[in-house]
Amino acid sequence: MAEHGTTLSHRKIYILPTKQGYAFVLLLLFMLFGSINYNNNLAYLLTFMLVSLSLLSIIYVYRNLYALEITGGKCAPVFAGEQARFVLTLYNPKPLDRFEVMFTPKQRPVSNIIHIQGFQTLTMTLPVQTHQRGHLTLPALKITSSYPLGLFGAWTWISLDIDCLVYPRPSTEAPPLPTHQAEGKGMATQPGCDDFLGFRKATPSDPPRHLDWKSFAKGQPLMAKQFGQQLNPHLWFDWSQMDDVNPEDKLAKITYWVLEAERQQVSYGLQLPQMKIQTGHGSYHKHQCLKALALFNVHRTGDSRE
Amino acid sequence: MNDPLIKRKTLIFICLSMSMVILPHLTHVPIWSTGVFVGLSLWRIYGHQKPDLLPGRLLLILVTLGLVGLHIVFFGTLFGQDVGVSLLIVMSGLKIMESRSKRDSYMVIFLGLFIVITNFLYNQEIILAIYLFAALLALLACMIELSAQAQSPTVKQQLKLSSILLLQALPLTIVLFVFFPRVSALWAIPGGSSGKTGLSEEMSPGQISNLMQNTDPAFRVTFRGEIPESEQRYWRAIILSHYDGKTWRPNQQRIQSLRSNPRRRLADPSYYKVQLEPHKGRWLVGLDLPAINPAVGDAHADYTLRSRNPVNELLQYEATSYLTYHTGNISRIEYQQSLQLPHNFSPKVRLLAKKWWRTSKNSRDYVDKVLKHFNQENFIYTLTPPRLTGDATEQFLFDSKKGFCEHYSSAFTLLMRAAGIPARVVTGYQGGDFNELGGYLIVRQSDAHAWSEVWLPESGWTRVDPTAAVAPERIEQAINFEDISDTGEILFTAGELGALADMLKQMGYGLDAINHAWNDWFISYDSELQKDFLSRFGININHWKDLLWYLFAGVGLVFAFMFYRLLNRCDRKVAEIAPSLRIYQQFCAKMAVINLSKQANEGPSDYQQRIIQRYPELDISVSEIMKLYIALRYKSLHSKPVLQQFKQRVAEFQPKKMIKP
Repeated sequence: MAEHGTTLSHRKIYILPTKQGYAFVLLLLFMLFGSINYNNNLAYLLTFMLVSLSLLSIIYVYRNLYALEITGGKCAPVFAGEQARFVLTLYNPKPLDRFEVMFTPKQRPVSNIIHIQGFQTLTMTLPVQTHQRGHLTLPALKITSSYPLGLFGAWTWISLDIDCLVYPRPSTEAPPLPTHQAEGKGMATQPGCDDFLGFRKATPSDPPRHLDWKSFAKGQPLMAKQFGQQLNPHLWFDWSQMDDVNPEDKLAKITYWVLEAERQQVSYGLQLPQMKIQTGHGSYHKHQCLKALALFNVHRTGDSRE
Repeated sequence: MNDPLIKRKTLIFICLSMSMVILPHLTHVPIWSTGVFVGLSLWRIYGHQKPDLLPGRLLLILVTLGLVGLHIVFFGTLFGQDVGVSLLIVMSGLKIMESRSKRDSYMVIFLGLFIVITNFLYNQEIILAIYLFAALLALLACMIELSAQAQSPTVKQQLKLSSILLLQALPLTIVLFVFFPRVSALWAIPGGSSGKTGLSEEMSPGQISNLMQNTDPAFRVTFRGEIPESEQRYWRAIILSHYDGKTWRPNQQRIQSLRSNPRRRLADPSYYKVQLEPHKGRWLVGLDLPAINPAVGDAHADYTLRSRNPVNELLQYEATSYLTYHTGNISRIEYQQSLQLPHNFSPKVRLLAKKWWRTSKNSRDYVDKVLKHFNQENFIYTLTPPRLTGDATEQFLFDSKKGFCEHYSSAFTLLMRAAGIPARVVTGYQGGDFNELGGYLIVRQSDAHAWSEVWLPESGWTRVDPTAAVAPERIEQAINFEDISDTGEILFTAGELGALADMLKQMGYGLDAINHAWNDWFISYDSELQKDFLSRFGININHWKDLLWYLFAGVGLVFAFMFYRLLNRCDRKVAEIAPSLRIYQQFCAKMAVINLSKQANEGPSDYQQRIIQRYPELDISVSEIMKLYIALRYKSLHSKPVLQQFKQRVAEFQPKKMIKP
């Protein structure tokens, strides 16, 4: 059952000895054997003290998790291949310090270890590696603690219903913006005039004095300085006009274009099968477009996990 | 999952705690064994920053094998107590050297816990117990340190937590200790377990005087009735009746007694309880003439008590003794044994005996004559008699005339035998101090003594103490060893102690009373005492299996109680601070109105700082509210007036009116 927040007292907390806990049990058996054999009361006392301490530590590890409140927060969208950063809010409703509470997402090697004081609220970011566009639900979380003696470990599983939107991975080939497909005038900008607008990839038709030789000399790709008046330009990224076979490649390209257009502050629109987004720019528009790309042909359920 | 490397601080902490545990073993193991431990620990700590300097796996294996070999060469075996402890110490050093991760370090600590328990095999005194439980705290703190490697608490916090844990573990420990069935040893214990020595089973010159330098307690006695006078307190331990010219030994064939109780008892017996310190041998002490007591051990025809097993642990037993008695006839075998003389017995001594015997009216008269000789012929009582060459008895009687109780009792017994009077040497203890604080008598090793017993027709076996003829003070008061002069002459200086010395003596009595109680209640707790103790609470144990029910029930109950208490205590605390929390929320709501709401993870002081930065004009009222809140919330100050004051301040607080637009 996934939910948005949870309190650990309502869940089953499991407790078993840790690896060193099993070794400790063996040690206790040895000690008890020695105490019986030598009939030595101080040895008995020490053995029983250690037995009691390990029993007591069961209560302590349970208490470390008991009644901890965990609420899922937001997770900012990321591009596939990046780390999704899930934000969780923890609240400790008890006056006790909880040391060494470990959060491990299922099947992920990384874990977060926190120390939360009495009545403290803590936000915690759990990084989860993404691989695929779409929705990434926070994997089930294992919460463990073996503090203070490390002999027994308590653990519980929680699954919180928080999603991370994963945009497609932008194409690394840096395809040129589809200028020829631009609507209305051929280019989004009127070239040749006085205002410096920015850089774009050089094309053979650029006059040499508009090329950025300085950075080319430093080994960067040849860029052309763009001059002109801003003419409310728009670009259309049209799915049907692209010749890639693999739809993922198309999505990667369009993602790259969205970012590039946003960087150049050019208006752009999206024409996907069954979906059209009018031209515009700005972070909200960008998010709308990327979200559409991320969820293109993704069914809300099932496909969100890898 | 990969264990992270341990921190340097953790490593040092572990090494220090381990040293604490090993320290009491210094006298039990060879010096190189602890040296190896210290060396390896220092090397490991030094190598923490320079891992290149640490030995590789192959070298470590070679060193381990080398050290095991060294043990075999040094001890001649790998089995036994001392060699085991020495190996444990060396192994923990090697494990420290090898430890990289958390799990290795746990193994080091477990070795440390095992070393703690081995200490108790050598010594069970309360001082050591206290010290080692302090060391246990340090080891627990190490475990806490290891289990919180990410954000470890300070050492002080760790020690505090481990003390709390230890105290909280106490109820469960007590239940386990009281109810765990005590059974007898699983197998015979190899070797002696106590490092202490007591009276030897033989007597050759010098043996007892060595013991007399030792003021350790030999045993303690609680009398049920009146305590006999000091000169009557002869504690019989061993009868020596065979003399080979150098050494007195017990007779090979000990006679199990059927008639150990004296024939005619001339006075009421004395009842007492003895707490005997371990001494490795089998002898038990009994006052003068103890009665048969099959519960304790075997009684012998010579009126000694012997334990069936070596006294390797503190032993408590009750005994009955007769101080005035008549032992009746002597058996033939006893008669023969008590007249034995060595083959090469000095003719000069024999002649002397013959001379005195001829002029004596009877045996009693002869005894008096010999004692008179010791008393009048310039015999000196000294701890450091000259070395005797040749026939010791002859030299002592005719030349040196200096000696100690063993010389006197030996010479006296031989003079008796030479005259045909059955006689034997008795070793044991004499006297003892009364500890008023504890209400018991303490007898020390320095009270060791040797005297004689002769058989006279009119009184049976009769105690004669020839030393008393030379130095009667020896019997009436203990020797003050600080006052022994360089020549070994003994001065008896009771009553001249200074105030400080007197105070020290009182303190010594106090400490010993603690030890006595510790032994009485704790160390000697065994299946018998367990039965007794539990029956006082109406719990009757017929079989040790009965105990298991109580044990499980007790552990279950205490555990449930601790569980409830540990979780519930938080809830109680929550309830305590709930009112102040509610008022604080009102305050936050008021702040939210002026667009400065508290952030989710903001503590009061941070919030206060932010408010004052934004609205300096609110400084005074906000500071006061926060001060009250912190006192109520974090300093656990739960007084009604403070809460009232806090409530009022928040109620009066009107930030909207107070801020400047």
